[in-house]
Amino acid sequence: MSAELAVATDRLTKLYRGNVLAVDRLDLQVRRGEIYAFLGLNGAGKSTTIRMLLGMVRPSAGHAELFGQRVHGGATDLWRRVGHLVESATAYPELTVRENLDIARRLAGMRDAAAVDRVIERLALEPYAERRASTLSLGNLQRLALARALLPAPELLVLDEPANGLDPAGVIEIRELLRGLAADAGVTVFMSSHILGEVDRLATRIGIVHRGRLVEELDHDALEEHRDRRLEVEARDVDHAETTLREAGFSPRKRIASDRSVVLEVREPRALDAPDEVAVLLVAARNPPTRLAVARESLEDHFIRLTRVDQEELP
Amino acid sequence: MSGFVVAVRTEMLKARRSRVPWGVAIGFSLAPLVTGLFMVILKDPERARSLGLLGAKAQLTAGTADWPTYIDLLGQAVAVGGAVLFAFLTAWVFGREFADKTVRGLLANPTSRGTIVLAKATVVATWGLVTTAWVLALGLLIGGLIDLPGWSPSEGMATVMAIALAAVLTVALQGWAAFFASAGRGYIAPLAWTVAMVALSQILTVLGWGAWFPWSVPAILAGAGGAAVEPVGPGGIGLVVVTAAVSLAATIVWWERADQTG
Repeated sequence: MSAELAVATDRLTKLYRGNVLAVDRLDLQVRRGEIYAFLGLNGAGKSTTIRMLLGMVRPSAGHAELFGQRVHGGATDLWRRVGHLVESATAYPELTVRENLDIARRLAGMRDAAAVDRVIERLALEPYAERRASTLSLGNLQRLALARALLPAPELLVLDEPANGLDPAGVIEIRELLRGLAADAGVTVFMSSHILGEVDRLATRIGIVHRGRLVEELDHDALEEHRDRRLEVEARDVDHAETTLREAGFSPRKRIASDRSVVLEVREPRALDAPDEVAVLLVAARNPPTRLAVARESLEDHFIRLTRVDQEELP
Repeated sequence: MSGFVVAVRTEMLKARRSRVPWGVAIGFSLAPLVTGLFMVILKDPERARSLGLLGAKAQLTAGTADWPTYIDLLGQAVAVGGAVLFAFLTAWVFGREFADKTVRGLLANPTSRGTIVLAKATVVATWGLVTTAWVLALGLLIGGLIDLPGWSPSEGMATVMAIALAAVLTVALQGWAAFFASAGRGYIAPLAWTVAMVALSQILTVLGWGAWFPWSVPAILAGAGGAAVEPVGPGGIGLVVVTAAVSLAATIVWWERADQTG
């Protein structure tokens, strides 16, 4: 595997006791400097994959490499280059924020004590620095966990739900922080998240895992092209509009919108490329559209569509 | 600074800031206080009754109020109490990482997992032995304050050394509590293991096999079981050492090889 890759897995598989196949022959390649979002439903195999990448869980078959170096629990030098947040944020409750970070610094073999101050400032934890972790809100505990991940100035950040518990301002702040780290310092970010809107804004590449298998992996730009597009049409007489469009050779489908209104969806490329022609058709039929818009499938809709596919249909 | 020293310092910081290790130290300090109270009662039962320390019809049959009895009782309290209290300490030092899920921060880390285990074991040993030294010092002070008769410097110090050796062996046997706290990912398994071993050691001592059962050895050395029990020889102590070494190795191997899903 190339050393240009920050993360690579080769047929990575984990079969837990009881014949539970958590990860099934997963092949991943994450280039340096990418922000790679790893998406999947609960139980899809995201956390097990992350744990195998971090040497916390041993693969049943296949292997993982970070920076071209094979991962195993005792690979102590490798972990100098990796910051991580696995599942929920945790900290020693009896220690202060500063002490939690300071012991992480020492165990990481870092001599620069000022690194703790810098990361406290970066994650806006100054007001809480001398507070015990047990008194922190969920959001600030998450900030502390992120601070610990960022502390060693890692080349690779492996983050499981980094925005968990953060308020909207915090989510934006972390997004900008991660984007800046990738753009300015070339840090590779491998993250899982349930906040798909956030992933859509941040990730440069997205992998979707379902039942332990990678069902789709796309660059963000390619994903744009991949997403389902449709022309949404609303009219006073929807049935009449549907007949008009069918007579013109379109195949409209009715859908009940969240506000209970009936919407016609047209997917033919000529409708998407020239929606004005559809409008002209309806006006000529004395049933002008009350709304006409080209809608693009959200990442959330795309994700749901993909993960609804049955295991048997997967490649 | 070596990784081991750094790991010991971080573990010591956690111990200092938590209530559990201090609770263990305070609980252990009750041993000389209660033993001393028994001596006060035995020394003058009538006065103890008038002070409300002893019920009107109650009698204490712990022996006579003298140094040999006092040290003997103190030794038994240290051996049995130490087995349980050190297990609490070990269960906390190892099990809390799993109960609080803080173990994740210790795994993909430049400090090796083996170093972390050794650092934790060092903290348990240090805390246990310092607490024992404090309890013995407190015991001698209380014995002196009560003004017990029968002090023989040579016999007294020999008994104190036997108790100290018992404490060292009791601490060494906590390796299995560490293993079960890790493999059981919490506090229940090591405490259940300890209760089982304490109960088994009582049974085997009564049956005459105590000198060869590692968990009975410290208590027998400390004087529990009396003169009727077969004394512990180098073989019995060797078994404790081997058991401790195997348990520590098993704990390190578990940390390094087991799937960490918690």
